[in-house]
Parts: sequence; structure tokens; C-alpha cells
Amino acid sequence: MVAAGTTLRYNDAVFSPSNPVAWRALGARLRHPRSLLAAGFIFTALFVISCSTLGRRLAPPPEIPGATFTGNNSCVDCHVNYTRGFAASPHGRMHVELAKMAGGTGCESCHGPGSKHIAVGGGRGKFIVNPGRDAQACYSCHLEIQTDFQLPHHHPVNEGKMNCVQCHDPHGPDIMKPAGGLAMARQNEQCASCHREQTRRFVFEHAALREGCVTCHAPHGSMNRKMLTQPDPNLCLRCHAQVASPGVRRGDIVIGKVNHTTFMQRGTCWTSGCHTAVHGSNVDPYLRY
Amino acid sequence: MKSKVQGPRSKVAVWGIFARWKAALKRPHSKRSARDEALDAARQCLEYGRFSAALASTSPRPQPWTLDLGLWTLLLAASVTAAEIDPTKLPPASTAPVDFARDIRPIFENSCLRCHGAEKPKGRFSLDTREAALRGGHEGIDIIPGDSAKSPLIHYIARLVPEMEMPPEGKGDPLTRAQVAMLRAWIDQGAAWEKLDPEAIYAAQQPQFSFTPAVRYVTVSGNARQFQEHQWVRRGFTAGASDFRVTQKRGDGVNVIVEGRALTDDYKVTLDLRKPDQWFARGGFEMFRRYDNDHGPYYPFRASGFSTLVRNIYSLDDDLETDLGKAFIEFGLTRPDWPRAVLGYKLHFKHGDEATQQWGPVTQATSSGPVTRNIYPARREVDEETHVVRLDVSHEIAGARVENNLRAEFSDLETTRANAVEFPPGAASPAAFTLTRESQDQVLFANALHGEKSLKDWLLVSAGYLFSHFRADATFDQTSVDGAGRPAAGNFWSANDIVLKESAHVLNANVLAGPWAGFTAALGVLSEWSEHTGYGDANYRSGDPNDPSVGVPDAPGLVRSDIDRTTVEEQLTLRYTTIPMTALFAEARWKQERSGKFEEQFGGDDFLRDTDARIDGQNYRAGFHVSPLRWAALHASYQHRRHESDYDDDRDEQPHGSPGDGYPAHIRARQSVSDLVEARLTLRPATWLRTMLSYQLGETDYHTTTDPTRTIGAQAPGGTVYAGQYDFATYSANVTITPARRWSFATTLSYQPSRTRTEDQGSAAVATYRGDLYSVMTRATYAAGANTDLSAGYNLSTARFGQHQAAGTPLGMDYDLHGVQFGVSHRLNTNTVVGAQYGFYRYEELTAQGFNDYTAHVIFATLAVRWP
Repeated sequence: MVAAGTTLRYNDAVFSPSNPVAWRALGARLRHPRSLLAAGFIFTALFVISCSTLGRRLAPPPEIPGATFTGNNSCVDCHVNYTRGFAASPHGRMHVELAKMAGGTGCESCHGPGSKHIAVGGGRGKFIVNPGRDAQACYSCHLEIQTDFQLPHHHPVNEGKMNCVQCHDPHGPDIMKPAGGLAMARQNEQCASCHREQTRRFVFEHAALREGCVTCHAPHGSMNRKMLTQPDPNLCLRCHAQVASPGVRRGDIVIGKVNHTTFMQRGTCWTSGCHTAVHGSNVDPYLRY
Repeated sequence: MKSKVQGPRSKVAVWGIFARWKAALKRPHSKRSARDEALDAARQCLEYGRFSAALASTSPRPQPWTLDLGLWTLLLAASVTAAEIDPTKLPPASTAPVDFARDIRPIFENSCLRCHGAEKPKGRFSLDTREAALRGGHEGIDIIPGDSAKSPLIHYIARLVPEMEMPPEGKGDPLTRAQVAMLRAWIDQGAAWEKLDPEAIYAAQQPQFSFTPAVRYVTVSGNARQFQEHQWVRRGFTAGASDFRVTQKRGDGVNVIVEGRALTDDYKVTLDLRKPDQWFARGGFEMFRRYDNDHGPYYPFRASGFSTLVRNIYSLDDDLETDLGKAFIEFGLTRPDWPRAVLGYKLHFKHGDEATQQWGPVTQATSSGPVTRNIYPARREVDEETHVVRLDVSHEIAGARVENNLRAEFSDLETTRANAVEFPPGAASPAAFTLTRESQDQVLFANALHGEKSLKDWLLVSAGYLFSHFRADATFDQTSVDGAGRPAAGNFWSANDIVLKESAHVLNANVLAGPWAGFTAALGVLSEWSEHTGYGDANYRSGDPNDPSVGVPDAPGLVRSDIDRTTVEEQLTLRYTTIPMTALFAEARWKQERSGKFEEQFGGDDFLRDTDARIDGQNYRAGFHVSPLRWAALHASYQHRRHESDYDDDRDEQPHGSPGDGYPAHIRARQSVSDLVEARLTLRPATWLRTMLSYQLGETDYHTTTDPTRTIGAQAPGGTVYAGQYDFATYSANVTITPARRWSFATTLSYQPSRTRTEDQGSAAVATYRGDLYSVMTRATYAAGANTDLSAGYNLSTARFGQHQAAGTPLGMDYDLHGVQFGVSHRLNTNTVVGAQYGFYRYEELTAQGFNDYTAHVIFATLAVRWP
């Protein structure tokens, strides 16, 4: 730590991203004339090189080099299975075929411009983006979802071990389910296909699951372990709070008829060794053991 | 070529077939099929809110029972067509020698292959190969080598057959007389294709290989297990193949694809054998590993003034790793005229150890007495296997697409949890543990029948029925042991014969209607009736096996629950697109659930409730998308959700303690109400610049109504309480720039403040959960040359949710997670690409005082090779 009033030198602080002193030291270093000169040279060189010709062009997905937008009508000929009910889907509800901004909605907003795909007679992966395998196409609109997947605890989509369509049907009427089966999702259907142990039947169920797994979990990502939306008693008290008892000492917290004050001090409801069977129990209706 | 031989369309009556047959006799040149009409309707749907005819009406598959009729129609029409074509109207054939590659292929590429390529050729007529071209399509033979005047292909491209002009209007410009003359000459000269030497043909059928050997080295200082949990990669040296692929098109028409990856702890391989329009067989195996941090939470004992400090955080000092994966095999029949059938088997598995949050208590001695906080980590062993057998059959019957999915699941779920229950002051390790083993063998049979049909070109209906039956046999066994693993005082609960059964009937009906241009309405209803029962004997033993005077006496009990539940959900979506460049939408989803729940536990604490529950949910959303400028689009919506539960308790008994004055049937009603506003502005002022600004504002309020209770020393009044509130805002921005051919930048920034506070009755043990979350994701790519790419990226996730509690366990976190990546890839030659990546990761969890921090360096190198 640098004492107040001390003249800051470059080597006074070991660089740490969370250390503001280090940031200032780094900034001072970068403002040095030699650093500026070197940086200027590098950028000038890159700029000059950038102006030279190159036979190809970099394009972020779902952009496809050389392809142009053709509109949803072009897709109907071959992909009627998807386009038939597209108007009822959450993605289709915002589609404007004659929008001024081409490719902002509809098929090509996710799959990329289709002209080259059509020109070669179609075919899987031929000049077309398959977003099911590449979440970047989804992130291009769903910025907040991209942020979720950057959090420390997340499903491994960015790591290539899962993909969006395992849980979502982007073309169907209900996006909260994978494609196939009935048109509308059943409760917790998309989670149960992998998390069987947590979604199995119990003698004593936890009513929270009737509102869905997302009552407690953030399915895309969370800063908390087990992808919980909150890691502390607030998660449970949202439902299990009750009017304070007049005769109970202020500061004591009562749930049901049990004073939970000391339990709450230890941790939260499921970490304190009490209500550990949060998804349900076959032996204890209070979900404890 | 457009199909003429079609199955039943939207009109299924026999008279409809006869009417078309008669029309075909009268209008032999009119070969515009119902499929084309359906496709036009689909275009109307996408453009104006009208939608397509049924899938069957767009399928080229003929129905067996109409095939003969269709063939007669075709033969009759073809004969009349050929007879009525006047060859003198055809442009004369060119007299020059024709070279296919020079003269014909360009015509095909410009005017034909868009629809008549290898994939899903229209009218099943493909110009991909000579063999396919001479085979013809649904119209029969289209090319007669040596006789262009009688070749229907020439008639179509010369536009002599009404409604069969090729290319059709809107699909391309008509061919010029010179092009028709050239194609006539090509046919007259034998319709030769490209001359490929035998070696080239042989080479084309050889397997194509690509293989990417890869090595990765990860070095971590600090909490390596935390790094593994966050980044899903193992530390140390890893070698294998990040990608491999073998493809071959065999001489018998079977396409073979083998692909996957094989890195340590991360495997995937699939085999795909496919003969188009005949059958396919697929199989594969996939497995990856999940890593858990073995540390419990941090508690600042020192800050609390403890007199004998031991440790602030505990570790199991073990790698907690779980392998997750699946193996599958499936066979399918895909013959166009047959029902499509897929028979498959899949094994899902999950094996290993994972961290749990049933943390154990650690007691510290303080000057004011012992204080206990649950911070000792816990683990559980998971052993899950599920075998799934499925048979999916789909077909078109009477113009409707019908699909049946039969599924049988056999699951064996076992978990064994070990968590500390006692950690006395001054001890180095826990003095007592509880071991809990649960198993559940379950079988689930489910069958879903689903059908879909277009009744009109603007009316699509679908319906489905699902039946499922579930049965499980479960066991429960709990043992208390001391630190050395010997039986110790505590609980010894067991239940060896728990039976669970559930049957469900689900009906679903959906309508998609677009009766007026620009307006679409979709309505869906899902009804579910289910009966659930669970019962069995239990033994709630507790005691001290080491003390003969106490022992562990039997405490027999039973458990039982019966739930009858009826749920109805309705979904309505409206879309209106008549306003120029604008789509308005509104949707609603309602849910009504009624259930009768009987739950009973005898033994233990004793528990009995008989409750009628009523749940009503509403979810409304309305918004618009407008794009008035080529460079701007705005999307905004408002969502309101309401979820209300009411519980009417006929019986609420707790024989021990204070009957009926607390849980089991304590909550009488709950309500949660959410509002969410979203807006997204997309700006694309130039082809090289795309920006998006996104904003969300949401709030949820929770209310709970409880019964009066007689609490310790007082009577709680009960009533309705404002149980909690969650509110948040999310500000996001994305910029994607491609300023030059060589450059690509993409950056996303996000900031989200949020807060959750609940009615904590003034308890100092509960703190408001509030904080800020910042995210940065940026990536730049630079093409240094025709064969070289450089890339760099930076990710940041920062949270400030630290809690400062006087009397509780702070569980909110402050952390900074940085990731920096550099990469280079260089193409050495046509078949070889070498790549290298370096990643730097730094994690600082300020609220764990460094125990979870790590610094990691990752080097990843690949060499992608393909041949021949």
C-alpha cells in the first residue's frame, strides 16, 4: 500500500487488477514518451497493413462473407418444417419481412444472410450458420444471456459441451422446451432431461418446484455455487417469511412456530444442516436430514 | 421439376382427388402442384401473417393409396403434353460441339441448381450428377439423350408448358434462346457430363480425413480446484485430438461420417451412416468432466473477536470430479414413401464426487461463549445411470403429419452424502459425520401422439396426447459416525421400501390462424391430469450405539402422500404486421392448477395435512419491433407476471408439540408479482459497424399469508406479510466493428445492479442481498495475411455483493475474474493449419480472503491436418 502523499513511482505497486494504485502506475507507464512512440508505431504499421489488399474478409457470426440477405421467403422452399409455424414462435412474433434493416429479424438474423447458401443449392452447413452449435449467433441479440454465461458458475455452453437448442426450441411455439413432443412445455421438462436426481418424484415434494427450477436457480449462469439466484436466507424467506411475533424478542426470526435465529446465524436454510433435502424427501416432510 | 404426383392435400375427401384428376385431364399443361400453392401460402404467412398449408401438402411424398391415380394422371398428362408441344417453336439446336464444363455447367449454376441441386431437389429432380439428371423426377424422364425436341426439360426451359416454365417466375430470369439452343445441342450430342478420369473418380470416393492433434498445458497457482470449476478444464498436461473427422461417400450411396474429439476428460465420437432417402444409423459416445471446488465458505472469525482462532475456511483436500456423458445408438428408416421410423437407445450417466452445500458446523470458542457457523465443506458421491429406449414414428396420413413417440426410461439413481455435524472448538477435524445414502430405481413409460394439419391455407391445427406411467422403488439409509468412521451418537434413519407411483395424462391442442393479411393468432391449451402416490415404512431411530443404556431403539414409522393434480395452461400469441416496418405482438399465458394433497408421516415428528391447493398464474407480454431505417431497429416489450397460490387445509395435525399451529399446513397463501421492461436498440450505421444497446428493468414482489401460530412464549398473529422484493436493472452494450477486411472487433459491456430484501423480522442474521455485477467481453481478430490470423480477447466479471453482518454468516461475494487470451493460427499449406493460444486467468475472491484466488496460464497448441 502506498501511503498518502507519497510520490508514486512505477515500481511502487505490484500490478493487480483490483489495485487502483497499480492501475495508476500502469497508466503512468503507458504515458511515458517511449511507450507512446512504440504504441504509435505499432498502430501505424497495423493501419498501413490494414489498407493493403487481402483476398478474404473477417466476419463475425452470423455474418457470412459475400452473402446478402434474401428474406424469409427464400427459406420456405426447403425448410417448410421450420417456417410453417414460425409466426407463433417467440422469435417469429417480432419478425418484419419488409423491415428497413435487413436481417434484423427472421431466419437470417440467426442463420446469417442466405444468398450463397441458396446459390449452391443448400445443404447443411453450406454458407449458413447453425446456431445450435454456436451460441454466438444467439448472443448477438441476447446480450444479457451472454453476460450470464461469463459468470463463474454456468452451464458449459461457451466451452462447447452444451448448446442452446438442448434446452430451447428456437422455431417452435414454446421456447422453454427442446424441439419435439407436445407443442407446449410441461413443468421443468427442459431441466429434467439431465437433472433426473433433482427432479425425481418424492413422497414429500417441495412446493417451490411447482413454480419451476428457475425459482431458485439461474439456468444460464450465476456468481453463486449451484447457480443459485441468491446464496443466503433471502432465497427462502421470499416465500417463508411471516408476520413477526409480538412476544418474540426483536431480532429473533421465527418460521412456523420455531425460532430460527441461531440456525440463521450459522448459515442459510439448506447449509445449516437442517433443510438439506431442498428438492424433496422420501422420509421427512420438513425436508430435513 | 415441380411435382404433380402428390398425396392428399388440405382437402382429403375423395371427391377432391377426382376433381384434381378431372382438372388434370382438362388442363394437361397445368402442372402447378398443390405443393407450390402451399409454398406460396407459407410465403404469405411469413410476409403477411398468413401461413402455409399442412406439412403434408408441402411434401413431395406421394401417398400409396393415391399413387396409382397419380400415375395415371401423370401418364395421361405427359402423353398429351408431348403430343401438344410444337417442336417448331423451339429454338434450333446449336450446331457447335458442346463442352459440358464450358457451356452447360454455368447455365445450371446460374439458373437451375438453386432448386435442383443435391439437397432436397424440387420435384425430386436433381442436376447434381448425370445419373441423377437422367433418372428424372416426379414428372418422369426429363432428358432423353439424343432427342432434345422430345425432352421435357427443353419444353420447360423454352417456356412452352404453362405453369411449368423453368426457372419459375421469381426464381430467375428465363433462359435466352441461345442458352436453350446450347442445351438442345448438349442433349442431342448425348448429354455428356464432365469427363473425369478414373483416378479422379476414384479419389472422389476416397475417405476424407481431418485430424487436429492438440496439447494443452495448464499451470495454476492458488486454488487450482476453483479454477477448474470455473473454466471446465483440468490443470496439468493434456494431449489428444481437439477435432477429428472422416467422411466418405461410398459407391453404394452410403455417406459415412466419423467425427469427434478426444482430450483428457473430454471425449466425443459419433458415427453416422446415412443412405439418403433410405436409412440411417448413428451411434456415439460423449463424456466430459465437471470439477468442483472443495472449499467451504469463508467466515471472518478474526473480525468477530474470537479468542481462539483456528481457521476461517476449510477444504476437503480432494479432487471432486464428476463424469457426465451419454452413449447412444439409433437406426432410422427414411424412405420417402414409408413412415419415418427411428429406434434408439441412449445411456445417460453421471459418476463421481461433487461438492454440496450442506456445510457442516464449526464451533469456535469466544470470550462470550462458543459460536457455531456452518462452513465445513461437504461432498456426495453420485452414481446415476438412465437407459432410454425410444421408438419414434411419423407419417403423413390423410394430409396430416402424425408422429408418435414411445419412450421407456430405466433409471438407477444413487447418492451418498457425507457431511460433518460436529466440529468442536480447537479440534483439527470434525468429530462426527452423518452418512446418508439414497437410492431410487425408477421406470418411466411415456407415449406421445401428435398430429398436425392445415385445414385452410390460413389455418394450422395440431393436437397431441401424452400418457406416462412412473414407478420407483427407493431406499434411504442414514448413519452417524465419529471422526474415525465408527458408529456414534446421532440419527440412524432408514427406509428400505418406499414406493412411488405416478400416472399422467396430458392433452395439448394448438391453433395457428392468419385469417387476415398481417394478423396472426396462435392459441394453445395444455391440460394435465396426474395421480401421484408415495408410501413406505420408515424407521426414525436415533441414539448412541456405544452406550448400552441408550442404544439405538427402533422407532418405526410410515410415510405416505397422495396427490391428485389437474393443471390447465393456455397460451395466446397475437402478431400484427400491417403497420409499415413494424411488428406488434402480444402474448399471454395462463395457468390453473388444482390439487388435493394428503401427506402423512408417522414417527419422527409426526405430520399430517390434507390440503386443497389452488394455483393461478398469469403471464402477459406486449411489445413491438420497428425498423424504420436501414440502420436502426428498436425492440421493446413489457411483461407482467402474477403467481398466486391458496391452500385450504382440511386437516393440519401435528400430534406432538403444538398441533395445528405451524408447519405442516402453515402457509395459507402466497403471491408473487413481477414486472419487466425490456428495450433493445440496434444501430447499423455502416456495413462495418453494428451496435446494440439493451436495457432491462425488473421487479418482483412477494407476499405470504400464514396461519396464526403459538410460538415460543407468544402467539404469532399470522396474516399477510410483504415477504420480499427483488429488483434489478441491466444495462448492456455491444459493438461489433469490421473497419477493414483484416480487422474484426466485438465488445460487450454489461452492468447489473440488483437487490433482494426479505421480511427478516429484524434479524441481524439476515442481510439484504444487494450488489453490482460488471461484465466485459471483448475480442479482436486480425488477419495478418492470407494464411495467418491473430486474435486477442479480454473478459472481466466483477461482483460486489459482499455482506457485512453482525450476527450471521455473510455469504455474498466480492470477486474479480479476469481472462486474457491471445491466439494465432497459420495455414502452412492447403491441408495444414497450425494454431497456438495462450490464456491468462486471474481470480480474486475478496470475501474469501484469498483462499479461492488463483492465477492460471493456459497454453493450447493445435495442428490441423486434412488429407487427401
